[in-house]
Amino acid sequence: MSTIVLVLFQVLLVIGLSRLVGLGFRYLRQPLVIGEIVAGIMLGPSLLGLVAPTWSAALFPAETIPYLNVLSQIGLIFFMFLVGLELNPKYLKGQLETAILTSHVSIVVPFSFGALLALWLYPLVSHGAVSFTAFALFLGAAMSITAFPVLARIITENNLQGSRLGTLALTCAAVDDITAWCLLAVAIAVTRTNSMLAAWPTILEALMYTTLMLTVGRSFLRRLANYYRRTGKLTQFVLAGIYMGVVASALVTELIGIHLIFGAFLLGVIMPKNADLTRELAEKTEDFVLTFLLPIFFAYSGLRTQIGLLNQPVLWLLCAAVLTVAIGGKFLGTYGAARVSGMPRREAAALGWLMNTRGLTELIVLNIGLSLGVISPLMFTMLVIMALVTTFMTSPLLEMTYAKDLMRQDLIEAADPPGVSINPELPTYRILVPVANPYSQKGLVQLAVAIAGSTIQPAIVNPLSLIQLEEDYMFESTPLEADRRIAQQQTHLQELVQSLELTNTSPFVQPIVRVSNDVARETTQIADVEQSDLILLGWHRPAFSNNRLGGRVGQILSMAKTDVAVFIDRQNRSLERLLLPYVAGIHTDLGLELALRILMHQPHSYLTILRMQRLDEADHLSDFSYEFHALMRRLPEPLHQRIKLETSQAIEPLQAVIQASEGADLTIAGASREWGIERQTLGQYTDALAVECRSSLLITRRYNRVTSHLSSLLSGDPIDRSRQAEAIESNRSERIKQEQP
Amino acid sequence: MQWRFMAFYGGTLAIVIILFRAVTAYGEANLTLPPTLNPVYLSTGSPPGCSNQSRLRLNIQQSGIYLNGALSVQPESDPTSNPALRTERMTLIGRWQIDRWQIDRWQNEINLTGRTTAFVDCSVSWIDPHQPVTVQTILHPDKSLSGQIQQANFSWQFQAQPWPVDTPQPQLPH
Repeated sequence: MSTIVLVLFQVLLVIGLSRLVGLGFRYLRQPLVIGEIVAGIMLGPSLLGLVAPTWSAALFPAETIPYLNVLSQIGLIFFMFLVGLELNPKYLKGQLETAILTSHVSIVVPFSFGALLALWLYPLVSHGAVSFTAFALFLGAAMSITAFPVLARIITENNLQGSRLGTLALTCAAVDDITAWCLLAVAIAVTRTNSMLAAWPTILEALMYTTLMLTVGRSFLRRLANYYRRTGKLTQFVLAGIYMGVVASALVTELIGIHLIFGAFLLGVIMPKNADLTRELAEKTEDFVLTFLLPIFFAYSGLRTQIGLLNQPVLWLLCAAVLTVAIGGKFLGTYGAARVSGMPRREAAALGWLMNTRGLTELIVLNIGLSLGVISPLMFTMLVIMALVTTFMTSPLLEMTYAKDLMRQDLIEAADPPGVSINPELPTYRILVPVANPYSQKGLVQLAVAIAGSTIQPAIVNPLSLIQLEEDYMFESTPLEADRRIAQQQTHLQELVQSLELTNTSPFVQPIVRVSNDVARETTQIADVEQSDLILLGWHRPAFSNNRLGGRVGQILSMAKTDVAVFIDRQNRSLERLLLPYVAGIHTDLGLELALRILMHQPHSYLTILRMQRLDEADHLSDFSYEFHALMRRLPEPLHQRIKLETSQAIEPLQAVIQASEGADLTIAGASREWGIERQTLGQYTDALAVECRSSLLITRRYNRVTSHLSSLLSGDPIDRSRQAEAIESNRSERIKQEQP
Repeated sequence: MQWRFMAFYGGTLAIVIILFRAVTAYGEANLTLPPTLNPVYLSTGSPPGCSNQSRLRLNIQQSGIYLNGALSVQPESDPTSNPALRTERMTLIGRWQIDRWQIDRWQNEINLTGRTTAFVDCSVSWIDPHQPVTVQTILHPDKSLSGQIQQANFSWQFQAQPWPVDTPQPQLPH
């Protein structure tokens, strides 16, 4: 087989496996990039070479490796350009003094620890002509890395970009990134010349080139931004020019004697940060680089990672020492500096874990070190393990230190100036309404408003819009871009709320916009944190089935630890005629409670409760449950007058309900076999009523048997009951008066 | 806040610079590295029981004092089997020893131990692949190795020359 055919086979395998393992890691709520790095390691001697050495030798013969190296280096150049492009001065906002202090201390402490560790490791794991200074510099640099791109994604995923912690972490990581690359450039210069003194010419040349790029280069590129502003698009000619600039800059830094990645990074940094230009350039570049070239870099790196080299207990001990120094140094440096800057303990600790994210940046540094021979294959493997562990641990440790509800609390505190309370009366009823499309789901929010009401009981409706990030490294998932999309979505939701024409929309309807990678899980978590009483979902046709209750709706139904109602909108805006087909059961009880809430808040609404009698079982009429009778006894008289009990005889109860729904605006049905709406044994939902119902349909599914959606509205005390009746009646009169011309 | 900030900042930077200078000064003056081994050695004679044209190949991967090795038997002059291009699973483990009496002096003796299937194709299987073998060698100033392969009561003395590693890899960034 010719080499090129083999390389193409390798590329196929690499891209396929890296996507697969990446998705697996996403499922574990880890950055996709960790999965891709692991996929690379799996293809190398650590796994494939171990379990199937013949296959490994056949798939990755030595003569093909140089081609993979060339592809990976090209990928690396353009990835570094994207990293530079993403570094925006806007990240250096607020708390800059604290950020610079924290960032630099978070570099110098692990760097010092690394240099001290070098005293122990150098005679043990280094060989060849590597000087101690170069080894210590490199080890120190490897210990002090923070991966800005990975950290930025972790912050976005946790919706921390607007918080004090998030902005500080981003500023620190941006300062850290630039400082660490400078440190690495010095380390490379010293390694190549093997002495600090001999490295000075290289360092001076690098400084001169950087200054040139920051002045002349930036001024030239400003013209490009002006050109883009005039034309409004990035032509292929301009793109070709930019890419040539990236390669030329990479070549210059390589010839100077640092590394080609610096040139590409520098060009990215000095690119004008015109939002549209940056977005278009990033979007055009990143697809091929991130999905094709970067996995090849991970595979190339994985082929050089040999976990099998750690074949003696003492080597695992050395690896543990490396890990301890890396984690401890970074954490202590960050925590100490943050505390000196006056940061509370919890936030300082969270910042310490965030700054420990090393990820892909560390891998780039390590591969340079191995290629230069400054670190041995064994040291490389230890440091790769360290990079993986430190990135993998960030999200869980952040969650432990700074739980989601505390984050949310801090975000609310940051948003509300002290002394200003948006709602003096605490809401006792909350509905969470996931809104996928604000333009087509007005009916859903209207229904939520009708159920919640705000005149009798303080309640809140939270329309929830989740922005799903497709990929880890995509430009769209950078904090600034996420902020832009959040602001855009907030505007859309506000327009939706205003279109409802409520008299007191704020604070009654409070939209929540968040970034999420797992919409179903995030929705249920937000419902937990917000202590929502009900999740009111719109129906979506799933992508891979025809079932109305499958897909994401099915996932939320499975995961939610709160009552859920699914609304199938037939575009009927009125809520006057409500129909509740009755079958004794907890899900129907929930439907009844929601129907009664609508009656209390909607003065023109009437409810028909339909009891079914099968013609073939003439003596059997489904009985009302004890709970039903108890609830009806507690209802105030004005409500009783708007409830009608009917009995229907039919061979097929489902067909009778479908027929009755013709005369209704909204049919409310508890999840039940009778209506063809229930979970089947294999996790599928049947949805007969959902398909055939003539009116809008609300399917209710109770999770918690204890909670009642009427507990705050209905009281067992007769005196309170008469007061509630008065309240409902006065609410009704007021609404009717308001509606009269 | 300002003075506290500056004091902390300046103090930390000063400590790091002093520490780094002290550490590198000590390291450069007192720490020495073990000698560097060639990645591939070929025996000058054929192993017992194997054809006269065959040679024993010893691949060594060195990471400081920690060594991993692999034994295999290959024809002496086979242009298609450049030893430098062949990757072997490293089954032998060993390490350089520091001279007991002089901390900065490395012994020139290397011991590698582990199982090998290198000799299963030879007509007389004189090494049991299920039992560990010991490769005891001495590194000579001309970079050649001499030593013996030992298992139970059997041993074979050999001389080995370093194989020039000129892999066709393109130059990595340097």
